[in-house]
Amino acid sequence: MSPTDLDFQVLLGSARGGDDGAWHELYLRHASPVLGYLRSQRAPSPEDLLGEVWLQAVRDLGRFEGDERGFHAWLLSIAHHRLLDARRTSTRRPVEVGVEPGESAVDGRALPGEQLLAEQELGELLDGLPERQRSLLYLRFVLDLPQAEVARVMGLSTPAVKMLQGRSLRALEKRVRELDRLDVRIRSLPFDDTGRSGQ
Amino acid sequence: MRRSSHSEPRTAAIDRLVQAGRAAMPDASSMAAAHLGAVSVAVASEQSRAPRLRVGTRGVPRRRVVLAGAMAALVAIPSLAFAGVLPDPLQRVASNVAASIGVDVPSPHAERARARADHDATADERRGGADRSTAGGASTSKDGSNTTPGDTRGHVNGEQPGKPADGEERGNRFGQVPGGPDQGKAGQPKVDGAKPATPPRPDAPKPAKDPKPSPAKPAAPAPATPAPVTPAPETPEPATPSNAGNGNSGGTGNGNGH
Repeated sequence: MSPTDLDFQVLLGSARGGDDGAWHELYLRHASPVLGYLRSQRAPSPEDLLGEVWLQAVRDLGRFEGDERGFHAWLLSIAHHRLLDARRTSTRRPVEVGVEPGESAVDGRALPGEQLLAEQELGELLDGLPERQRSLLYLRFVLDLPQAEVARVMGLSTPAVKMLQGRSLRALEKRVRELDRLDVRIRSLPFDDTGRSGQ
Repeated sequence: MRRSSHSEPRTAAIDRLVQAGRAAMPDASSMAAAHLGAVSVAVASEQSRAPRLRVGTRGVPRRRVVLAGAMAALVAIPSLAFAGVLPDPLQRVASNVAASIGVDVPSPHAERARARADHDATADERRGGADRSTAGGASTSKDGSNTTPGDTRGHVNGEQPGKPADGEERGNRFGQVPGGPDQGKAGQPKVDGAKPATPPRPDAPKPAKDPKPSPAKPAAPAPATPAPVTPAPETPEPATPSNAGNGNSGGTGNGNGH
């Protein structure tokens, strides 16, 4: 067991014992990727979902066993299930989300420019894809989870994840080509008012 | 080469995705205060919660709980049915089912009928006692039977009214023997020893002799007997005319008054 794992096990034990500091540390280490996943999937109110994910983790931490990587995947699987629940609920009762893209839902501040552009770019890449392909691409490549972990998070078998990955990458390639073609067309216009550089 | 031509745009697409995704990664620390406040409340409530029995996938297997319930019902329902304390419809069903396999379980009808019969019997008894006590000229024998003069029907020993049974009869009935304290109570002269119960009538066929003595008339003396009694010879006692009615004159014990 590496020192990092040992450290994590101590942290986990403290969190199980109800230590607020341990929970704070776990939150700082793992909350951002979970929030990124929820946002990339266009979850309705991802910040609220993140809070629900942590409350669920508090309730179920007694049943978790594993290292830090496993804990990360475990949190993401909770987030995935919460996301599916939220999608089902929002299809029954559509909720008006009063947050503009690129704006923080918590304090309403505008996101930094680079992050805003990156979020727009990510949206363009993923928005036209089916939900499962979006989930797989983010978990597998952005969060760099192995296929087995992705399978666990999404509730699929590893072969199914392999097949889904092939289809997702083909769809992503096609999407990139479309975006490039669109970009070339926009750059060829005499007045480029998109605000993006032509490079 | 074909493979590389496919993998290059794919790799480029993946790179673009990864760069965009990592650059857009939000910082959750800005909302940590709100979320961690809720987390600490949840942690406190989880810590204070007493361990409880959880049924289902998390705790005790649901199958085991169902099995325990079924076993309890299997024991409790027959027990209650045998005790007759189930509600009437259930008791009736249980009684019918048990009867079909040859087991006697009280049914609500039978219970009710028995209770009613008991009640009626008690009421009759009370009513009968009241009648006897109010009837003029009637006397009540020692054992509570009606001894209205001239009527000997239904009398247990066929005693003649107004004339107590002979000592043997009474003695046999109450486990006493002739010569006991009851003998000759009403001034009747003591009949010599035990005698046959019924004097033979000339026209009646002679009853076959029972090799065994009747339990009501033991040949051997009872333990309380001070002196052994010798069985009397089969000498028919002459029928003495009754001084009250035409009841049984010899204490035949058949109770029909003839």
